[in-house]
Amino acid sequence: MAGGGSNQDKKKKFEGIFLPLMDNLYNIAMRMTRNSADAEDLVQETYLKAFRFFDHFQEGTNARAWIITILTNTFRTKYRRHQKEPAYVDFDSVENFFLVDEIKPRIQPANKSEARGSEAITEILKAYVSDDIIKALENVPEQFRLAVLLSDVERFNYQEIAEIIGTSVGTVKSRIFRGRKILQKQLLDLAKERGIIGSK
Amino acid sequence: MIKCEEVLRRLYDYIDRELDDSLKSEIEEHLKLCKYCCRHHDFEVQLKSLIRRSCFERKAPEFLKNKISDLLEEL
Repeated sequence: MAGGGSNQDKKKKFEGIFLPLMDNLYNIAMRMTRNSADAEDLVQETYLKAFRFFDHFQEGTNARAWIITILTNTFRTKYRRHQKEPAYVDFDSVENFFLVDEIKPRIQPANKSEARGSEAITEILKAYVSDDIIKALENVPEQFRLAVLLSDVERFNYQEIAEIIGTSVGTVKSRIFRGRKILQKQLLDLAKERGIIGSK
Repeated sequence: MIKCEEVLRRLYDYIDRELDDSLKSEIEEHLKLCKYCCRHHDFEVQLKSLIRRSCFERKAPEFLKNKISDLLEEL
């Protein structure tokens, strides 16, 4: 039980644990609802709900995972039906897709024998600003997007993600896999659109 | 030695630290020797952190923080 003592103590404790996590919650909410009005409502509702259930929070367990679980459940039951899902994605076509194989930086290293590894990759990724990444992410279908966010942004392990989403580790793995592939495909399309890279 | 195909198939498990020690060290060894897989690995790692950075550039707005604090106070 987390909420012993007076109501005031309880609030203080709750705020101490959970208010510092608001940037995390807001970020997930923004990426999932894809608009700030819904994201703000979702975060607010999550906090109020979390406070109502605070007695069920076990101190010493992962507070971030606990409140993110509340946020994802709230999103699922309340906000999802307003969402227009990104267009159909042909999953088979992403299975063996590797963005890194598709793109070659325009400027080749002067010395070809250098055929640089990491540096060249950094050059490729420099073509994308954070708005590009976010746009690409928001075009990934929702369930895949959530799995990628929880892994890449929140850095939860597969077991933790499985518990948050309420699914199996196997499902989490395949959602992360597909989510990343779809994201990379979006990034490739964007690069082609801008003529940053040519088609192979 | 573990094949490229297998390394690429397990690359996300490797990057996300979800592998047991023996497969992990097999892949580690392979990555040291294989430029092709190494390039894939580095790319995925860099993209993963780019996604994190891109998202965290944005913070919750101040007014929302204040509003939620106020709402909790009123309870």
